[in-house]
Amino acid sequence: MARQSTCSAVGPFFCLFFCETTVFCKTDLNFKRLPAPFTKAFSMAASTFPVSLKAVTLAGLLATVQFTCLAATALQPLRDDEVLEVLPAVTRSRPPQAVTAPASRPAALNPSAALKQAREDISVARQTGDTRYWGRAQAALAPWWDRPDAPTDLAVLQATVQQGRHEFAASRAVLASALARTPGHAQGWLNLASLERLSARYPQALAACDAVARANQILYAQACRLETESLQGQHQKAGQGLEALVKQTQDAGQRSWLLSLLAESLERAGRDGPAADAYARSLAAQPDLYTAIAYSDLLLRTGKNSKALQILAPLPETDAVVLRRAAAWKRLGDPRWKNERNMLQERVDELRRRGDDPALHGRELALAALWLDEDAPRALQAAKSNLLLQREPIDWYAAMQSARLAKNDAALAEIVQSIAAIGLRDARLTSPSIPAPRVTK
Amino acid sequence: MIGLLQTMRSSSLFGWLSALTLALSMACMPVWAHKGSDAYLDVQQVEQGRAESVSTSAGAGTGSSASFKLVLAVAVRDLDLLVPIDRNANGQITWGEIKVATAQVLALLNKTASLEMPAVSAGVTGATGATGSSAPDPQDTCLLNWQADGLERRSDGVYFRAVAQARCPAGKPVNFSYGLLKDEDSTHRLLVAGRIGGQDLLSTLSPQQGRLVLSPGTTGQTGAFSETSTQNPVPSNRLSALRDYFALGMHHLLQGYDHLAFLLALVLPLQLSLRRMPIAPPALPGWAGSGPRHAGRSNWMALLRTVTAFTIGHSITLILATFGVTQASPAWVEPVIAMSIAVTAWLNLRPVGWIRMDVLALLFGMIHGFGFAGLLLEAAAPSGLLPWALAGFNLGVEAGQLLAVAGWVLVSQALVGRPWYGPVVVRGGSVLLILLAAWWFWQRVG
Repeated sequence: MARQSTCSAVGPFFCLFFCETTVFCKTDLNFKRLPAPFTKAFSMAASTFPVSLKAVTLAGLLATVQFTCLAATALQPLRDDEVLEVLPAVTRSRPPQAVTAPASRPAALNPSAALKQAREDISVARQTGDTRYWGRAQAALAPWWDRPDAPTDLAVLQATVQQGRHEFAASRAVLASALARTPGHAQGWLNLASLERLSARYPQALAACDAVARANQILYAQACRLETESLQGQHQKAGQGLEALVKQTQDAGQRSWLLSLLAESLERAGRDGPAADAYARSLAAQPDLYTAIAYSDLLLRTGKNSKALQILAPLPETDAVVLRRAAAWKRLGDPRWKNERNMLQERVDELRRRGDDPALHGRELALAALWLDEDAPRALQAAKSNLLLQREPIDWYAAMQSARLAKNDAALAEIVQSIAAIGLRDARLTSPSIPAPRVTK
Repeated sequence: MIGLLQTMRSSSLFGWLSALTLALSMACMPVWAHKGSDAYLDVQQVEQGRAESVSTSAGAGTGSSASFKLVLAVAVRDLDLLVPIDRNANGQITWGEIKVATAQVLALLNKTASLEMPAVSAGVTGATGATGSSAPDPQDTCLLNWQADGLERRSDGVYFRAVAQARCPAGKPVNFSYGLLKDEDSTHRLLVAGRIGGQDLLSTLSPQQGRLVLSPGTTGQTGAFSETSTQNPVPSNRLSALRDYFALGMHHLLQGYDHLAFLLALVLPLQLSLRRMPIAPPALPGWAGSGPRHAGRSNWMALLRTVTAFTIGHSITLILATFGVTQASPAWVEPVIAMSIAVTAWLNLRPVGWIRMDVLALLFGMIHGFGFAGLLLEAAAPSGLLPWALAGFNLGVEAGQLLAVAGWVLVSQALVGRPWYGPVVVRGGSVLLILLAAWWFWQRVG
């Protein structure tokens, strides 16, 4: 990167005065911002000054905009074998003929080719967190997208893509219509059950699980029921049932998945130790991005920040991962967390620039405000609007914590009431280890 | 100014700097893709003769043309989907592989990112006939022939950059058509920025509806309007330019220690007391305070005059440089800025009777103004917004300056009126400033 090498070659002072000017980006009319390190350096300096000075410094800082770096940096590779980009597995398995016959994806109106392509893209999107693969899956499904006569398999994949992009309402509508046409589609019901759980509609989730059983997918139906029942507070039954299912299967992927369900169930039961073990076993059976994030949440919640960093280290830098790493660094007093905070903000800006709705990432927005900015009122606001989108235990947890720290008793009471009303039982949401609620009506 | 005394303790200074440079380099490190696939297009209508005005009807019959320069950046990861860049299919794309695939990539871009001239209305066809003799086949040049323009790193990976120029007949409609990844990625977007027909352009295209009007022809309005996106009209940008550049100016002054150091050197000898008390006696006999250097009656007046002179000085050069009237190379401006601090501080120690501090502030302010201008030019204000950006920036610098001086006045309350103010604060401070400026000078020349 030309800029930085110039800087280091010329010396730090030069860098101070010139890098500052060159970080500004001309890529579009949005005025790009300088990185927070500048403001960080200021506050670092300010911490060593008398109070009156600090006030003046801070006033100046607050009046300036937070500067972040969105630049495109010119790149001049020196050697031909310099690796510039690493592709996810799916492209690695590109059929050899593609090397000679470029472009053009599988034949347009071939449902089975589309199915295969969309599944591959979805799996890459899930494992890497690279959002563009949702768009690629959608392109593979394009001829059938939103078509009422689409083959059920393809409609279910459309719903999967939409769920992956947090378009939950659209996803549910597509599933409902597809399942009305083909009531025996087990995958469709499983998807619907997970949507219902995500929206904290547990009776509806159980009904969907039963439909999975009717489609003769017994293992999946059982896991589906047990997971839902665990959310409803039947922790012991769920724990034993899931353990039994784990023993039944030898498939690594299935074991990993079942163990992650077990881990979550144990965590809800308030058994953090066994839950951590189950997460570790799940990841050992087969690594999975979501499981690793859930595990890091447990570690962060129980104060094992270094261990959380260890779990997060190999993961792709999705928003969820960056957020948690920043939280761990912040708690460990590592100043690098501020860069991560900056990066998250930058990503929100980039989403807006391309016309996406950042509110679909409401959970991360709320947690960032809560953990990193320590702005409890804003966190509460974000967490509350996020609850309109998704209602998993961590979403309630974020809302409760924000309400507590914001000392907003009314909001807290409302959240507690909602949790009781939907029938969610989770030790994390009642545990006295977190600052006790003022209101326990 | 605030950080100044502290920074002179070398340990904290270097800690600060290393943290800063480290953080800088980290801030620009590549990260994993976290958003959908974006490509970036910068479009500029190049001034060529009267090119800027050709899209108006006045230019239509004169045979003039409209030139466009386009720079397109596409993620290597996306290109690999269309062109087998990763030839050995090992999941790693090397520089060598990109070089080999470049011709194919450019051919692909020529197909999917091109100019089109839609059928024109009868009236315009007549105009074409009139221009026919001077430009036999203007279509020949109204084409995009993409050329490789290197690589760049963005927040979500490495991008392939291509550049193309086109000269299109004036007064005819010209569209930019974009269909890259149309069948491969439903959420791919082209983020467009630039300036066309005297208007700033900022829009987002999807390949499904990928058309950008570069020139609407004689019958349409000038300027570019995308069918699929919102265009930021210039007026709404003015306020934000003013605001953004205000912040930029203030930020720059407050964290540009050299400007702060210079201000400190200027105000150091002024004993600025907030209490009502008789004017302090000169801190040292025959020097500072009410000496000839600040001919005014009170130190406050001297402060006002000096700071105002500094402001006027740097405003002059900032405005001149921003509008391109004068130019100054940082190669000499930056060392001279360092020198200005040393000279001013030296005059605190060894006053020269005939040098007036406010005149000095004016002259050195002009040098500092070039320093500000470099920043403003780099920040690339769109030229239509330049006056607003300039006004905002200047106001921001002033605000930062006032804040800094106010900070010093507050801090110095603990010091003014003390018998040791002269020897310790003024002399000591000036010596330290000279040392610091010398160090800066050395750094900037070396």
